[in-house]
Amino acid sequence: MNRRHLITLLGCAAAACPLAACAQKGGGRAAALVARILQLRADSLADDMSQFFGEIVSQMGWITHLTWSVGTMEQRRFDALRLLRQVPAISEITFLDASGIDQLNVSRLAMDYLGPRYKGSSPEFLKAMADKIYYGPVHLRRESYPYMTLSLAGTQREGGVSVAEVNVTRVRDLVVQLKVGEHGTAYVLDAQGRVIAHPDINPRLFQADLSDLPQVRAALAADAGPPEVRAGLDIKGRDVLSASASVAGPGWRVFVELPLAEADATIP
Amino acid sequence: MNRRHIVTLLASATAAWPLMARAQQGDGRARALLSRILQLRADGAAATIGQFLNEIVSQVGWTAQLPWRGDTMNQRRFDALRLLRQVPAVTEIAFLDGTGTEQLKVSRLAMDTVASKSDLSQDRKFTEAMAHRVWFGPVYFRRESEPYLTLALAGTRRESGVSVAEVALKLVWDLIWQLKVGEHGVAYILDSQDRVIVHSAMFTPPREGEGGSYHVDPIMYQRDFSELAQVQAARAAGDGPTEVRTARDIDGREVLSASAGIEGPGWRVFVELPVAEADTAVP
Repeated sequence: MNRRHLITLLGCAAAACPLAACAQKGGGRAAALVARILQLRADSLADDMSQFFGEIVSQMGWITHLTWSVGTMEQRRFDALRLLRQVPAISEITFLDASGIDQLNVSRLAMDYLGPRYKGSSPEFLKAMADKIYYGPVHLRRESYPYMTLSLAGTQREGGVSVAEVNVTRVRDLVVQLKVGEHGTAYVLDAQGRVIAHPDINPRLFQADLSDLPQVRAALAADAGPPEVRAGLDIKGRDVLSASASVAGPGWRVFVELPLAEADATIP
Repeated sequence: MNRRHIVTLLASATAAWPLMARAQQGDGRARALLSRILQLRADGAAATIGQFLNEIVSQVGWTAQLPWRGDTMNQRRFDALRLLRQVPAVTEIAFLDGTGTEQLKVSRLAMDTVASKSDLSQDRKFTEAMAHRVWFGPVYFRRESEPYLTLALAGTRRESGVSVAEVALKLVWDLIWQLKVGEHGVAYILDSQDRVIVHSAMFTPPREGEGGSYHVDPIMYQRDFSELAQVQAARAAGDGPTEVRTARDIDGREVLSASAGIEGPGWRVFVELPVAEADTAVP
């Protein structure tokens, strides 16, 4: 190789070099944009869920203004019927008085009021009296429909506690309908890292503990910090990019994940 | 140049070519990713505003369940007080009976008015709500800078009449104030006639030592944006999805523009980023 060759080669290399840098920078920028998209999608999914609960709580607020007396019983029954009409997701309302006794029950599904019973040591009473609102664990009815107990203390202490059974199928629908790239997923975990909703149809996944996944452990530990998109693993052990956001109210966390293999190709 | 030079050059060029292609492709992908972000931000803002209005509609729905009879006045008054307590954005609620006569008005700012008997049967709040169940009135300002909206909701039966709420839109204004993307991006909402309801250029940050979050200069309010290409394209798409496009903004700058419709009042949110920033910003 003579000198002129070398110069030509160097010239070409110099021309190519900014391109290489550009491609690299473009890759870095693309990665930053992909991460931003995943975070926006996690935030918006978490917002949708917070709004679902926020609206139920504010609708329930209508029935928490009364104190307990014989004269308000009819008003309460009337309020409960109006609430069931306003909020299709609520299937049942129970009023506990300030000592925790079950005084009235209005249900869409059954006439199963058994008369006054003491429920003063139940979490739906104690936690609502202490914190105003209580979000119970999600359970499955007839092994498929997810429900949870949500209770709200009265605006005055003598107002007791209103307890609602809430159908939370909407949470699962939001997760299942979300499309993230080609094979990305979204799922919801409770504060302990157990599955509330996951698009995988395996029913045994409900309440499965995912707190050992690296991204889940990191997100649960860094709860108060600024959001961060992390590398992680999905339930099948594949590498993923993972964004998460917390659901105001029940203290859940949503995760939106894209397989790393897709991160250079799809628009999530 | 001899043959060997040409071979060397060609070899170098082929070595450089994939890099060049990759840079180019990388650029196209970055632009597609950027467009996706703008669309997600427009969708998110539209969904939040839609849900805000929707929730107010369903809260006001409580007050439109009962028929008008002499003995329901106390229940109505109790409902009005509960509504004001439940929904901070509602500052006033009035009930019209099935003939469009005002029977009760309860306000945070003034004394209650019982049975004013004002005839509102020809007013749009009554006629439009009776015809379409929900009516969103035009945005108006109180004390020159506080935006409000009149919302009217008819009951399921004619004799339930119409509930008319005055709704503060501060939350919507806050959202647009926060929605600016990149350095010089803008966000705005147009009404169903493509006139500006709120634009991020209406806001200036508070001066040092002042309280509050921003100043509002309503000069852009009601400005007609219907000539902009992105606005016409969005209108043509109706309820369908729109593509993020390059267009001119109202000042003639080239921008990337995304938009999304707001369910209910027929408004549309636009989020725009100057093309000059499109290669650097992560909005």
